[in-house]
Amino acid sequence: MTNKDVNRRSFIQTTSIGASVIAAGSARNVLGANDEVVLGIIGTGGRGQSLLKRITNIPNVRIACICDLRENRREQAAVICEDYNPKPKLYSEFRDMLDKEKLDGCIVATEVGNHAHCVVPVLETGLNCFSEKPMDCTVEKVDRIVKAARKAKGFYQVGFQRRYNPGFMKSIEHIHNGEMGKITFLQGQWQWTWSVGGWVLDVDMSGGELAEQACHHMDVMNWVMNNTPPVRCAAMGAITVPHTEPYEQKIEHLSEDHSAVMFEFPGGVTFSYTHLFYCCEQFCGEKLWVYTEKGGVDLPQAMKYPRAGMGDPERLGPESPDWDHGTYEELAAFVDQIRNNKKPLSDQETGRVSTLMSLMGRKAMYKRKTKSFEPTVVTWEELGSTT
Amino acid sequence: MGKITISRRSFIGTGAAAIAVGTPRRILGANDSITLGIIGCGGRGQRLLKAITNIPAYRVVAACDLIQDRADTAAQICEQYKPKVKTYIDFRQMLRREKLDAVIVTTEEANHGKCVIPVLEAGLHCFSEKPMDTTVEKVDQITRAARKAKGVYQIGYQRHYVPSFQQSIKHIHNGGVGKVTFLQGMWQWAYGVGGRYRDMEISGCWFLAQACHHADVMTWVMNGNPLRCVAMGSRMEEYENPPEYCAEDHSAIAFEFPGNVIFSYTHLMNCCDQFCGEKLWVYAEKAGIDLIKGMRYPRPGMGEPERLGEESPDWDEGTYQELEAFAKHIRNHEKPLSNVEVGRLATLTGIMGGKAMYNWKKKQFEPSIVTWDDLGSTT
Repeated sequence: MTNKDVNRRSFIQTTSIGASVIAAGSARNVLGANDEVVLGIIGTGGRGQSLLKRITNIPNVRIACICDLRENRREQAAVICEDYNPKPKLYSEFRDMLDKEKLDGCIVATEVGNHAHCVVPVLETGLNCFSEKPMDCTVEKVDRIVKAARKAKGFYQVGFQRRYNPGFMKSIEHIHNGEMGKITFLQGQWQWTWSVGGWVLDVDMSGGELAEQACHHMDVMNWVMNNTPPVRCAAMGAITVPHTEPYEQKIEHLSEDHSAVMFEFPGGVTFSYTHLFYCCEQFCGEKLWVYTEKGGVDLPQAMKYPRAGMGDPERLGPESPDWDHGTYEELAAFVDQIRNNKKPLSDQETGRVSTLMSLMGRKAMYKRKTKSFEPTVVTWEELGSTT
Repeated sequence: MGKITISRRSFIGTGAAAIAVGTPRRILGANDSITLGIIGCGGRGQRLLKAITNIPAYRVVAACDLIQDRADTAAQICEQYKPKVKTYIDFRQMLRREKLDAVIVTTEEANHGKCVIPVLEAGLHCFSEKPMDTTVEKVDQITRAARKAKGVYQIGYQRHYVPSFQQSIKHIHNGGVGKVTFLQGMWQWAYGVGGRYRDMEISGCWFLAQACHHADVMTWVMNGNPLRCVAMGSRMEEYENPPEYCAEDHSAIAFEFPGNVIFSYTHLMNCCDQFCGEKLWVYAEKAGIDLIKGMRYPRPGMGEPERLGEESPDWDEGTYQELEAFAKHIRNHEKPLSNVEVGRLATLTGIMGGKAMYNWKKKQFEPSIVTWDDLGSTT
């Protein structure tokens, strides 16, 4: 394990202390329609930097401060934000940052297992918070965020960007309007050529690939099902490529690189999902199909296909150009929500079910005691969420 | 419940006890045609007969069905033969009276064993439609009878006779793609589950009755049985008078093969055309294989896509070839490619899927983990 990983893990362990010594609020006052929105960011690795690049394109926003445990990451983020005046201040300690800065909102893009550690103090400070998905990687930490968000002055938005993707919005609105009749089946696939590595390999840091990445699709199907949690889940997972790096061998619980997961929703609606890595290109891609009484809806394509004799195919919205579509829109919406006192489309209530679905899937495929992939049937109650 | 269904169900109930003790098999001369009887002349039986009438090796002499109309239709399909095909309602009577070399069994799934075992015990060659039967006990009975039978026993898993499947799977078995990492299958249809298939006491379940073809393909790829299975099933279409044990029309199944290789499968009915079709993908260390297309797709940097065999034109491809091969197997005393051991694996895998999705005691869909040992097969 490298120093950076030691830091990341010890960072998690200080969580409970962390949350108790929060700066008591540095939220700004009510904003006018033309006021600049001032943001800070915690966690400026790959995803954090990707978010910053988009934020710099949103008018009338300023990144005032940047926090990361690692100096090079802070500096990379500062370069992305170099056009801001004054230049963002750099911090290695997020509590220090929350204490000293006057902010309207804070972005959290740390590793998944550090989300609650940062999000809860941000919310308790009274700031609006945008956190990357999933909410966190344990049920207990998800519950803590939910509780904090429900009583927070600011709002909490989770980075499930498909909620801000027009093709998905139109298609799911069409389903919810009853135009397709009863939902009969849900099917999803996400196949990739690349490999699983880095901190995502560590399930205590990421929740595993199903949580860290495929939670996006759990969120979409949760959205389709109107935030009604699944009744049960069954899953199989596997590691097909051995991890031999020294730091990898020290990880106690390794992420799966292949999984097949099934959820049962009320009314007997099954959601069947596969999430695979190391694939040939021809087998790759993102598929999210909703089967209904009257036909099918292909969500990434935003196409409606009626059953035979029930009409012609119909475009419901623009096709998604790629898996990341909606990220700019969700960030622009975050700013707009701050300025105009609106609620996010992806909040703690939707994010909670989506995140818990991912954790349910991981729980159903893996036995922590024996550290082996072993399928079980897990019920929603068995997750033991207290929210 | 219609009259036909009652006959079918009572037919199952009378079991395998009252077997006719056989018309002995004759030695075939090189130019002798194979005399054939058929038991079960419904849709699939008629479909097979149409293929058979185009294969010169056969002469159909007798057709048996519980419904006289069906036997008559079969006789009409076979009008080219002289003497004319005789029709029977009682298959035992047919076995006693006719001089047959071989019998085709295309009854309902739950009646396969009841017909196949007497046919094999009579020393005749037997081609039975898939799956072998609907319960582990009956599969075991057929397996025992087939293992000691003099005649050939072939099961209608026709993909074993489709060249592109043969070539693609041979490529996998020869190590052409490295270790298999994942298996994925889909079979989606625009139509619903019809007729007898809805009754799980007759069909086993819809996954077993139809999708056992794909269980067959993947057990063929893996050269063995899955260790565990978990499944979710549901019936979404409303029926006026559903049977007591009503089959699923939607299912999602996951099997685990040795080495943590997962086979994920969905089998869905009443879909829009755009979501329909048959997909069988093998993921491996070096490449992916699309079995239906007969294509090999290397992982990035590992080469160019390559055709391993002709694309299958439709799901029924191989039916003519398997019937042609049945005659060849009979003549050459060969073990069929789709033999008792192959069929046993595929059928038990199908039964496993059904067991993992349905609770027979509660008469409801309920997912559970089923291991291969839980099936309790004694063969």
